[in-house]
Amino acid sequence: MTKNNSAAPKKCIEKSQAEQIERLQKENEELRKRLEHKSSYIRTKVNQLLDMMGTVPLRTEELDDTMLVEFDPLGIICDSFRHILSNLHSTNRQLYIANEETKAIFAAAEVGILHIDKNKKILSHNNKLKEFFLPGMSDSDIVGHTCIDLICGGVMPEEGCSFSQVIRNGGKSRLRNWTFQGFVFDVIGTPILDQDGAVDSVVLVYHDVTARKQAEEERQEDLLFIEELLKNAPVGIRVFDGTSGRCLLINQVSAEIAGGDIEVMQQQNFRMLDSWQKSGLLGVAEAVLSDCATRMVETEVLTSFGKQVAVEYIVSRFAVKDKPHLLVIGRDITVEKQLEAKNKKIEAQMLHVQKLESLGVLAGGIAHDFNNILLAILGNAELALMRLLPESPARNNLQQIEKAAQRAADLAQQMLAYSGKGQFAIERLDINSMITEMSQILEVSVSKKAAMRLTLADKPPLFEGDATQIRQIIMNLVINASDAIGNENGVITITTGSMHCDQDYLSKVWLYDKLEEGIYTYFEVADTGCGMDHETMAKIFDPFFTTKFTGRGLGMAAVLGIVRGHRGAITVYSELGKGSSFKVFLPADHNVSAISVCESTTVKLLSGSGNILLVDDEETILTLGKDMLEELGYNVLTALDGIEALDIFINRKEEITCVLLDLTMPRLDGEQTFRELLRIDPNIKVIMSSGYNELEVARRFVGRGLAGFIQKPYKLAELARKLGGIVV
Amino acid sequence: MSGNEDKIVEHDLCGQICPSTLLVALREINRNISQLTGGEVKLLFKTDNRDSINTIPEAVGNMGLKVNVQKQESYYEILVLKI
Repeated sequence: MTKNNSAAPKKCIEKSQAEQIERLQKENEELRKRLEHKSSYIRTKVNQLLDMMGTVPLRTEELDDTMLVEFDPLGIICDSFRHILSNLHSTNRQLYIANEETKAIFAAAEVGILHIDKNKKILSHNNKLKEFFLPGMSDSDIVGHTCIDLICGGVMPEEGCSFSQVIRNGGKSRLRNWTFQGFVFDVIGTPILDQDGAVDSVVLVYHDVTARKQAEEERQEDLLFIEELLKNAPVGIRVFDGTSGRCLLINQVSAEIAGGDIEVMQQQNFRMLDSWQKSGLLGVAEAVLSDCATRMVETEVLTSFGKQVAVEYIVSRFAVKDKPHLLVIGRDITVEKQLEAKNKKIEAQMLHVQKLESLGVLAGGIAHDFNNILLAILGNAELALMRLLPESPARNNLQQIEKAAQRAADLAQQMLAYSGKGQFAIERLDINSMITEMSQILEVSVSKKAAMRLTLADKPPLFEGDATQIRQIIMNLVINASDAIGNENGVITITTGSMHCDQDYLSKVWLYDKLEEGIYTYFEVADTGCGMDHETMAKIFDPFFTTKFTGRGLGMAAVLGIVRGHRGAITVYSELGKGSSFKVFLPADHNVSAISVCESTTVKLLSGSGNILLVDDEETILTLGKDMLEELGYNVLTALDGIEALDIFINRKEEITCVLLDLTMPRLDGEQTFRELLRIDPNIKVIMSSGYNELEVARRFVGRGLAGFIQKPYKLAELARKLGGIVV
Repeated sequence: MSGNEDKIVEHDLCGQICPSTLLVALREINRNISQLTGGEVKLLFKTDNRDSINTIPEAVGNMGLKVNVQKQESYYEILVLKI
């Protein structure tokens, strides 16, 4: 190939290429021109879309047409819108479901729901709300109107407004016990906020709590009732948890019974209480919890607070929601128990008194009749002795009869003394003088091993009584003390004094028979002898009870009778193997005038004269009395009873010097006859005679002109003395 | 929570302005939309264009995604993630 040959084609080629480039450029220019409006279209649409998205349009320098195609903003935005639409669909679905949910909730809710805007205009509501506040109204009459007009009648409620609270606070509010036409509601207000967080509208939920409120009030009343019941119950009430033992409930009375603090007791656990363990209450409680059987127990408890108390418990079990509970009802029976014990003692004493009284009546009756018989025996024996020649061999027999009858008379006297209806010669007595006077005879009466000691108070108060009977008491007690000492060495101490005895003290003495409180003079005979057991002590005053081989069992019975007759009392203390003491109390400030009618130890047979009216329902007495009186030189008229005596006295009162009158007679007794005799002749001298003489009867004659008294069986000498002092 | 949830893909858009930043952000979001809604990835856009902290979050929010904007010293961080 040549160089020239090659240059021509080269030039030709270059020319062709230039022409081609030019042509292509022209074509490109034409194409650009042709596509220019399409790029503009794309740019315009992209910008529209960008504007929708809130941004500025595309700038040409930022993205020329070429880049516009390569970058494909339209595609990008389209894809984004596809995603946005997809999300929108999803959101719509969610909104649809949410709307359905809301409707379902509105329909199903048992509460009233109200949705209102900021101006209280009702946006929506449920049927329950309409039922509560707007019955009968159509939805169109409700929606768009304000709640304050439709529900509250245009007036802001006094209780407040939940809507206002929400607006004020910007958050949830709760209004309790909002009332509407007698119904009570709890109102909850919840704000619905806009995108800026401001309250856009408010949802109000109305919960009808009328029934609950009523139930609460009823429950409150029930609680108050229970509280008052517990407070005012006259018994202690406690409730414990049956499982844990913890105290759940207690009233004030329980605390008072236990002597403790109610708050402390509220913390107690019954299983931990020592007092329950020791009193046996714990065992009872566990048994009740175990078998559900209610039990009643009486027990003495030393409480946790140191109080000794007698309590009657009722223990039972009940369950609350299957949980066992222990109910303990307690009643303080301490005073009741004490009274019961006291009453039992008094009852026993009363029984004893009644027993002794019955025996006393029996003994007195026997002694009375016995004395009448003895009067006949003694009187006749005495008359026979007087009338017999000194050398008569029958004299000794009569004397033996007289002695035996006298012993029988002594025995009758003891029986009378026991009955408390013995002869009384009341006078003011000084116990110290009496004991001092008796000391010598007491010394010789007691065992030689027994030493006598006198501890006499300085001038104890005088008392009123029958000296003979008081001496009999002293003698009986001292002889018994000596017998108790027996052959051992011992001491008998007689103490005197006085003390004030109140009812409490007197209630503990022997034969407390409604004695009066006051000063009592006492004497006490104490020994260091063998003492007595309780069994013996309980019987020592029973008639015919004796511990001595030769005893008749009337000594202590007589002591008791005499003490009773003097309205006194006696206490006994004894300890087996250590000794006994008997303390006799006699009322010191008694104002009974003395009737000293039979005091004389000097027997002198005095003859007399005059007419004696002898009255007695016993014919043997009449015969004997007449005989004795005639023996003494008197003329005798006899009458078998008071009526007959009055007949004789009316007719012959001028010639009758004295009347010897039996106290106990049928038809008209001695007292009634005495009254009639005095009515007929106020100056008539009457001597009362009786187998026994009651203190009360004797007192009835005080100041009424009774000339004297003679105790059956009387002897000729005594009769002579009595009449000698009266019939002048 | 899986490990993928913590995967953050970062895009530095500093120096660009709207609508370029918005379009780039949308393009990346479109590309990763399934991973984003699945919670497998988070996109972090750095921009110094103030308009972008409004336009991007609004568009992203309409797509049902969550956006957190945090200002750094000289730019903003826009974190796109699953709601």
